[in-house]
Amino acid sequence: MEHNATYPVSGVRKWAWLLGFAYFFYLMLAITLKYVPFSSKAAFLILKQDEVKEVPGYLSLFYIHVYSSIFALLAGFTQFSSFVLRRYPEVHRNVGRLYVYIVLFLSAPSGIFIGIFANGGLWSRIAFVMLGTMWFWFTLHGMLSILKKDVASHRKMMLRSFALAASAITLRLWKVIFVHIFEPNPMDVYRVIAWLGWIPNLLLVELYIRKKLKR
Amino acid sequence: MKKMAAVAVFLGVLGCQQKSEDASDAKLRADNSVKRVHKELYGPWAGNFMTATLQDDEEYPYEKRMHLIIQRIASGEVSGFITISGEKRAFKSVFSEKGPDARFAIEPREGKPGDGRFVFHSTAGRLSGEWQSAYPHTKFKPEAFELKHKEFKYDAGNMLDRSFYFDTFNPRQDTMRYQGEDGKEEFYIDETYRTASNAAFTINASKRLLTDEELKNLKKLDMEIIRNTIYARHGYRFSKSAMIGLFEKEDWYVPASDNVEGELTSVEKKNIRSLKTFEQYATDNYESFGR
Repeated sequence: MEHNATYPVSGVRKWAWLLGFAYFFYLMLAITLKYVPFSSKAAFLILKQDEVKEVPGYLSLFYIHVYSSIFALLAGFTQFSSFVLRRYPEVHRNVGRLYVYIVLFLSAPSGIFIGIFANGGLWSRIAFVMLGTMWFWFTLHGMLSILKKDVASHRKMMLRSFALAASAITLRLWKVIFVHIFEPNPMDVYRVIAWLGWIPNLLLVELYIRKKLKR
Repeated sequence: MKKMAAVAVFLGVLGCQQKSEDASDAKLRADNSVKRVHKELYGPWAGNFMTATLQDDEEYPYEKRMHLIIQRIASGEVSGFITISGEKRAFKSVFSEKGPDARFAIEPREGKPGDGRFVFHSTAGRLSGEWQSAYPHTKFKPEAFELKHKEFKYDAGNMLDRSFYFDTFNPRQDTMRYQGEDGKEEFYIDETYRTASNAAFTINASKRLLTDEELKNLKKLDMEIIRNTIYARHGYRFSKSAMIGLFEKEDWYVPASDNVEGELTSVEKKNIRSLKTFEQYATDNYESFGR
């Protein structure tokens, strides 16, 4: 199958996506910096003191997740740009390798672990563990496909993988919307966004794959 | 000889003291006879009364609660403190008696339109009052109300007797823009009130330590109410309108002290610390993107 390097997103729209992504990346960076310097009571950990005190390894894995994931998000700037792929394919490959290593060895496993202790009860935990597992799975297969030179499969898998990575952003967006409209209890918010954060992302990316990458 | 002299001086001094004691004794007895008549009026009283607020020259009646402390009645004068809406004022008024009945008046503010005065009547150890509007064109008809003796007593079991609450004092304000009649852009301020959940009125932070699990799921307003209820149980006199309004009419609440930090139990202190931490977290993260 021939590799077609043109991505079917028009010029203006590409810039809009890039700018939007840059803004939210900046917000995520700001959150990450809340965890610098290392502290067992920083930001979200206020709600996780029981786990910090009673679950061995929780604090370390939490920090592995927080510190590594921001680098995984970096891939959003380069990997979906046809310009980069055409002119600087080495960049695509190296950033790609970085993304894969970070996700497979750091972000996804740590995410699954802390997901087991997610706030909001059993259904939240199932949501986050599913998210982490699928993220791992898609990323792994995205890597395996390109090692086999199967570009079509590589693209589909990596799109799915990054759609799940982007749940870090969409989960928080939904939180803002939900709280603004309904003012629910904090755990009720959590229970909803644990699912809403990534399922629409996957659905949208599947729709995109089906419509635009019919090959 | 010297010993005898010492004893004589000692007895002499004693004698002198004895005389002065007799004189002050008599004064005490005279004072007491005045106090004893109205001893039953001494102490803290509380009651709900009808008052009216003035807005755009219209009077709007509504109910408020007052706390009265009568400290001294002597020489035709009564003095003490009156607390309304968290504001505590000392008063000293003429105490006029007619047989078994007595009356006195308190004017908490000095002669401004829309102000009022309290007129109290006492008969046989009971105290009643009415609030009269000082507004010159008033249509307000004063209603009498009964006052009851209300000693402050700490009870860890005291809870707010309600099941929901809107915080009208700290609304979220959104500017809403729209097209006016003449095509101009108009705007109004839309206010959203925070609502408390049932948890604010069922969780007792004086009786037991709160767990992280339940703290995680409390809204900020719930936590504020739970925390301030601890202070209310100790008779803390609130200065914030929202808290005054919440606790004022509660039957068991008496604004007795301006500082109750020394009375807090260890359970309460720990809960207050936890609540403040989670409240801060809610402030930073509940409705914003970051977490």
